[in-house]
Amino acid sequence: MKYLEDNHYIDRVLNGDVSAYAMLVSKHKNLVFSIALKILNNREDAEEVAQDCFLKVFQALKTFERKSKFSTWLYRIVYNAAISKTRKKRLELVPMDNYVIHNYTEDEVSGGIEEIDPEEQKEMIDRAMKQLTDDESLLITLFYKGENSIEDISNITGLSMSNVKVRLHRIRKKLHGELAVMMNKALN
Amino acid sequence: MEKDDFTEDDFLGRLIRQNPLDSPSDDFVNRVMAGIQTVPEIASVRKPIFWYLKVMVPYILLFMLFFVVFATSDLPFLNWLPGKSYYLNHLVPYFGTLFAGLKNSFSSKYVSLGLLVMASTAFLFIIDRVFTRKTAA
Repeated sequence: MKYLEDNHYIDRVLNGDVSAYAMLVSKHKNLVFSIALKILNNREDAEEVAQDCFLKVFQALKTFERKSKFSTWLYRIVYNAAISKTRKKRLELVPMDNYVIHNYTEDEVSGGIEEIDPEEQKEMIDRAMKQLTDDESLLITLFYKGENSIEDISNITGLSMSNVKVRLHRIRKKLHGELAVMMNKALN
Repeated sequence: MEKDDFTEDDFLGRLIRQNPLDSPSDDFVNRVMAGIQTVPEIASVRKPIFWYLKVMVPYILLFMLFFVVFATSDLPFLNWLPGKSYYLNHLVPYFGTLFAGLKNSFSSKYVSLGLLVMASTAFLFIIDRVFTRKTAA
C-alpha cells in the first residue's frame, strides 16, 4: 500500500477526520511493534505497548510541534514506553574494544553472496540477524528497515550521534563476519 | 577496505530490507481505532509555563527599553508618553531607595559572596529552563 506523507494524515486528524489516524497507525505499526518487541521480547507485551503508544500519540497530536519527523517522535515514545515497562537499561555507550570484530570486508562478502540463490540469501541474513543482541538488532532495524538517519536514531535512543555511528559500524562488521562464515559453508 | 560512510545504500542494507519487519496481529489497527473512539477528544494544547516565560522575554525587554531609556530622556516629543511623569516622580526614586538598600547588603564581603552565588545560580537555572531544547514531546 502506498502511503502519503505523515503530515497529510496529521492535518486531516487535526481538522476532525479521526479516521485518517488509521492510515498513520497502519503505516507505522510494524516498526513500532518491532521496536517494542526487540526491547520486551514478548509479542503480547509489545502489542500492548504499541497500542498504548498510538493512543497516547493520538491524544497528544496537537502538541506535536513538527520540529522533528513524526516517525522520530513516535518511535521515541515507543522506545521510552518499552524501556519503562521492562525496566531495562537504556542503550549504553560502549568502549572501542568491547567486541571481537571479524575481519571480513564488505567487498569480500558482497562479492560472494551474489553467487547465492536469493531465497538462501534471505535465510542467511535472517540467521545472521538472529546472532545480534536485542540492542544491536534494534539499532540495525531502526537504521535499515525504518530508514532513520543517524540523527533520528540518536533522538530516539538518547545515544550520541557518534556512538550510534560507531555501534552501527560494529554491527555491520559483525554481520559481515556472520555472513562470510555462512557463505563459506554454503559455497564449499 | 570497509567503507567509512555506510549511510549510503549498500548491499547489507538491501539484504536486510528484503526481510519483512515483525508485524502485530491483524486486528491491531481496528483495536487502536476502537480505543480512540473512547477518547473524548484530542487533548487541548497545554504549553509548559517556561514556554510562556520564553515568549514574554522580548516583550519585557521592549518594555524596559521603552521606559528606562525613552521615558527618562529629555526629548520633548516623548512627553506624551503615558505615565512618564508618574514614572519619573515616583518609580525612579523608589528604585533608587531599593538599590540603596541593596547596596548596604554588599557592605560585608561574606554577604556579597553569598548573594552573588545565589543570584548566579538562580540566573543560570532560569536560563537553562528557558533556553534548553525540550527533547521529549
